[in-house]
Amino acid sequence: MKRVLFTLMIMISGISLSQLTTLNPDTVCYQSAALSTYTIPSVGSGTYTWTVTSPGVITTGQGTNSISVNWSAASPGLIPNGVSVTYSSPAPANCPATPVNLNVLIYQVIPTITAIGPFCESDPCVTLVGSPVGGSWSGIGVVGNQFCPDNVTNGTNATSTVTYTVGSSGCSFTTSVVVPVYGTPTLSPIQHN
Amino acid sequence: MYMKFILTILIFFIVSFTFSQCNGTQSFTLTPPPTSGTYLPGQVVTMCYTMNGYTQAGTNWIEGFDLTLGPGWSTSAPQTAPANCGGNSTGGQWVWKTSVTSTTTPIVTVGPGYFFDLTIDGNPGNDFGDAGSCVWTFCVTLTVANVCTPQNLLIQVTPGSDGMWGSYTSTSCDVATPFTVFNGTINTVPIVLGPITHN
Repeated sequence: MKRVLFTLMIMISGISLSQLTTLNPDTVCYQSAALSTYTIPSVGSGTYTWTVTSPGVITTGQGTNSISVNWSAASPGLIPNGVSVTYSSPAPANCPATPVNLNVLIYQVIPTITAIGPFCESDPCVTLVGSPVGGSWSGIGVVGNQFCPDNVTNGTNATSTVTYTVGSSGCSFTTSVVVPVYGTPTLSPIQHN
Repeated sequence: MYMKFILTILIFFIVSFTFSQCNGTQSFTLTPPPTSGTYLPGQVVTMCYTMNGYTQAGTNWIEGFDLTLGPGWSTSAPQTAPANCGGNSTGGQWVWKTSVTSTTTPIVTVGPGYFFDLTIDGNPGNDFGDAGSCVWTFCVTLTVANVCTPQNLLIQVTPGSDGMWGSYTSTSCDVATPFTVFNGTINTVPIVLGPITHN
């Protein structure tokens, strides 16, 4: 019984490990200007030929076992076999290797902010609501997840750009709204003439 | 039936007497050694061969060592020649030849390999061999062809007498027995690429 249990534990841990090391599909942040570096273990001094689905662009490394790719022009969504590589052993043999492919997911999250305002300077703080939940807020008048109009202006009309940032899968996405806040009107003294 | 058996034994002894096996003890080294009976495309291998002793039946002398190479070898080049046994006072030298044609009959052409040129005229086929019974060692450099097919990498060394490949007329050592050093293939195991990683 003990042996069976032990074997089961090994199998379960093996399954967990294989899931943790899954690399396919690769995730790339939408419109990210950062270059993605793709590498395969070296198998010799032959020629590595990489193919990247357009509009992805190989910026450096073609012919080697590591390349840099610019995905900034790619649309969101899954690109099947977005990155492929094959290998040919040194001439004159030029023995080919079976190509290896990698699916690429251009990852995008579109955050939204539930409309607020306009506010009067004297209005109380309101709770900011964004989607998906779990993001962070920033901007003049923002305190935690609340917007406090009296922190925006001191008597004059003003606006605050409220930004909601969502982080997911190593990517960061933001959206903003402009919130008008009107200062408390000041009446002139009553005059008698 | 009994007579037939006796006759077979008799023929065997007659043949053995007429064409004696004159070769000494043979051995070899391969550097680097093969992996599971294979070498990689383009790999360079040093083969060293040694023959210890030679039975000079009918006063036959060792004339040379002929190499038989499988199609998987692209080139063969001399490295170190055997030392002159010095049994003949006229000297002579061991030379690498890609082809040698005998003077004695039947006329045969062998090579590549190391052959003994007694008269040092560039033609080991028109004179006698290296007299004596010594230890002959030579090394050659062999290169595996750069191909993707599992071609044969046979290496055989055939010692031959001067009565067979030179100008001597005795047939007492006319048994050309190839000594197989290696009989493997080119390793054409498919190249397997690892997974693409993104960092």
